[in-house]
Amino acid sequence: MIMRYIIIFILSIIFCANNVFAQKKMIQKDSLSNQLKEVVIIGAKKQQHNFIGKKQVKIGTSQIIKNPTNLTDLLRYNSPIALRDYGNGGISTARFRGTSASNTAVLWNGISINAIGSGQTDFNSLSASISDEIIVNSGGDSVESGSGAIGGTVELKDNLTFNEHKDFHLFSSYGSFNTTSNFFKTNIGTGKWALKFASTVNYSDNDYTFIDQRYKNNDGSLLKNDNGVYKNYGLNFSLGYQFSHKNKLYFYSTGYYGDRLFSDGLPNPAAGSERNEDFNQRNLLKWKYSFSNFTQTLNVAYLMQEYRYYDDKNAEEFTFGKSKNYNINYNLKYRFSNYLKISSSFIYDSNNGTTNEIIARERTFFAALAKVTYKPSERLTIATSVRKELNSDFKVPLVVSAAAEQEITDNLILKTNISTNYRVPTFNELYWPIVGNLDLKPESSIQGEIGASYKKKNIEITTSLFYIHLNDKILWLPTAASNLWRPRNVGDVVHQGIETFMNLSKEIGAHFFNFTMNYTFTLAKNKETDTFLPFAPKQLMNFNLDYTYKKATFFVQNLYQSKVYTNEINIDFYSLNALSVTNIGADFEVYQHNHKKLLIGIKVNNIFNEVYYFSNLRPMPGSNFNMNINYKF
Amino acid sequence: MKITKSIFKLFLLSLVFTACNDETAEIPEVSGRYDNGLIVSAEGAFGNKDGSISYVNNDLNRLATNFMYTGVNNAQLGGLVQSIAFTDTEAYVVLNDVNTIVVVDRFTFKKVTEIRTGLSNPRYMAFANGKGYVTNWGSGSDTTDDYLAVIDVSTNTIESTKISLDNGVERIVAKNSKLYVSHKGAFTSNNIISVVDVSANNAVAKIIVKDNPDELLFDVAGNLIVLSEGRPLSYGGAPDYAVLTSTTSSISFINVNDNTVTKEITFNDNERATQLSYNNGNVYYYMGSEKTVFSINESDTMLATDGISTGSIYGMAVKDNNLYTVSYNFTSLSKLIVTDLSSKQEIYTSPVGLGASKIYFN
Repeated sequence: MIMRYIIIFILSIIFCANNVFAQKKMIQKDSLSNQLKEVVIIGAKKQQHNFIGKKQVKIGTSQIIKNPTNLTDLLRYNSPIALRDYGNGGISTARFRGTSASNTAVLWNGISINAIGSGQTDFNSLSASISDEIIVNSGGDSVESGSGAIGGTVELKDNLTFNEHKDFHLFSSYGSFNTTSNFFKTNIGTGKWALKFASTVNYSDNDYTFIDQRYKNNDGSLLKNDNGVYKNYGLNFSLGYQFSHKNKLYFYSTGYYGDRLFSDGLPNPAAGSERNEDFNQRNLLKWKYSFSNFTQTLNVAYLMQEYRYYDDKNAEEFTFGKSKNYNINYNLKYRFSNYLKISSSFIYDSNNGTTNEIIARERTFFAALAKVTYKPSERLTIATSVRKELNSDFKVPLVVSAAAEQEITDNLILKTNISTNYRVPTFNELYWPIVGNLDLKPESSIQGEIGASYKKKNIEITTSLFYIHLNDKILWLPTAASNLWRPRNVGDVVHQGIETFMNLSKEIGAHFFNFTMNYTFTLAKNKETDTFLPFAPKQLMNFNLDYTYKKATFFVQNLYQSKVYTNEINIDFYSLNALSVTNIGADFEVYQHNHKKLLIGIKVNNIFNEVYYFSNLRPMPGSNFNMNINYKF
Repeated sequence: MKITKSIFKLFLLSLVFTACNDETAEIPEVSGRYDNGLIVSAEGAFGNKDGSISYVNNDLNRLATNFMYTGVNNAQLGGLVQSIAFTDTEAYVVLNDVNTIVVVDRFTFKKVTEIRTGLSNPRYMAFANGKGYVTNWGSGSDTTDDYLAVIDVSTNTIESTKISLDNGVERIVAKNSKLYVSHKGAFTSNNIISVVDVSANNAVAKIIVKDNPDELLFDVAGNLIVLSEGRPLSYGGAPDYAVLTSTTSSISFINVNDNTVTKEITFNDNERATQLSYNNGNVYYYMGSEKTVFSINESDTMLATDGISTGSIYGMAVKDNNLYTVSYNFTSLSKLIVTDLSSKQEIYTSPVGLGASKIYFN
């Protein structure tokens, strides 16, 4: 398995090295850049105010259709995030740079949607395919995104465009284990109005064979992922109205329903009987108005989410957790000149959460933010910001951030940022009966990052060295002389490493190649014990290599994750082996007229039939395939 | 172009750099025969399915052989190891969270078969009249579905008959075709010992003891000794969350001929014991508040005043003149400590699996 990985990796390195060193001789044709736009959605074109000095990866529709089954899969093959799921389709959590799942803030159009109970987001209970863009920002961002934005943020974005257009997109895939993933998107602009409507339906029997030969039935046959069925539905409706170029009103709304069984994995999948339902509904009204050099934006949001957990899938009774969240955000920007901008936000947020175990609790906060962006010269941009939050439950530290970007040449930018960030304990951590701990302190962190970004027409490389020092990390640990787990502040952890994104492309006659890669090297350690933190891989890499010839595209995807420990003992018995998974696929354009385009695709996942795990004894599927139709009109 | 090259080099360098990092040394997994020694079972962390088994020879002249089931079978047990029950030839490893019993050869620990049906939150197992009986909580939220699963040990298959019992079945011991089951109360509380007569159509009698009865042991004369831990009423703060107040804890002696409690040694209010062992006329009990193991003679009517300080432990056993304890540890490897009872000196210590909880003599 390792051999295969090495070969694939070396081949790709050779391939891209050739690309890098050969590209300067190439004459860049207009056709290339057009094609690039079509194939590559990644890469910020415009410098965005919020992301100065940071590393960002954007994921769009072209990636979604390659990994359509769930958000976990999509991010695994296209982002620097380490995801851990409890078997395919099970609960899934995300870690940036070796931080914990609750240090990853998930945003929906700018608003944090981490559950108030757990402080986390389950990446298998979100429909990614109806979002237009998924923006993955590495590094702390508590000034903007508040509690939990310590390791990084994942933002699901809906885009509304006013210019006259009518775009429809239908995608449908079907494959192994009776798995089907489908979405339909409409995006219309009339000049005055902008409208988006999207829907998604996903289903799978998910009854794949556990291909690990070490575990078998008494009769010698392999076990199956019993009790793993999932289905989910998502809807998205967004509307924008443009009174004038300077006065725009937007409304975003989305709903989701998911119904899953939780597999028990090895050694006894038949023991599984759990079921889980998720509901969520999110609404946002946004008004953006510019006058003279001011731009003001008012966001008013109402979000609700609920889960229902059934210990026995056939039973009526369930346990639940639900929350209602109101969020009002007023932002005022003032542009002195192209060189100096200031911005200030006032946020009011009220979150009301309850479970069958916790009586309704309310947490409110009011936060004020200020930010200055200054360009002392054409090539240097500096941004500093500060946030003060008054939280009804905790004394939240003042958080600050400072960032700079210096253009060295037209192609090379040096980036740096330093920030402080925090996470406030969640309702479960505080109030869960018997185990909740009212003495918890918020986690706080300081992080620094320095990196460079090199961009040319057919090459983009971004590399960052990062360092995160987190104080008062909250962990659930066994206590009370029993195997009963309670949260407590355990001390300091340090995360350091390097994160790299690379995109290379090359055209030779009618042959077009595109290569993207994310690579992260992380040392995440508990400072007291000097041991590695669990589920924080030292090395994490994924790449996508596409080859297009006329109307056909072939692609290879690979994910490599080095060994992870499952606790802080750091011995092999308590670890998951390194894994390398390769998928291949092909798309054929069968019809094209004007902007209508019909593609038919096929994909084989885990082509080498590797045995791999993201959680102990919860195996992932062996080789499997799907076919898809992708129609844009 | 130069800059492109140097960035690329930086990236390659990071790959090389990472390849040189060594892993922590591994604890050896050795296979062989695992008799004439101790078997220590470790629960593993709840939900992580990483329970394990260790072996230490009676001479205590080598460190424990850890993760030995994995070493022998090239597979993990795959669950929280609640307990192990032994027949003459086989060992039955009860995995609580995955509703499975792994049957292994008692001496080589090679897997024989797995029992994966008919179990629901299994806890402990005992043997009577050629059958195995396993206590099962049933669903954690249902206090009316506790039962004994019955296993035909000649075929290692579950029989269709279940013996329904009151809430919170825990330990089980067998004597003269009778089963004695303590009802610790699962997620709630109970205060009875059920007596199941397997030769009389599984008729059930009940004996009332103090709250949360757990360990069951027979003394030399054949009396049943029961440790009631008392029901926790309140807990202290972080990080230990020690039990502050509880109902009465006691050591009860039961005459099994007429199922009466003949003697009950009770602890002071809000003091409790959580571990019990018996060896050759002496009763050993562990009090978590003092992190100490005390001993009394079975004829005593009062509790002891001084004992052996052990630190926080999660399991113990006594044999010959030695006290065997495993430290309470769910974040690092537990420690097996052997203490000489007369000199009160530690004579042996070895790391064993995370969350070690039970010690058996094989």
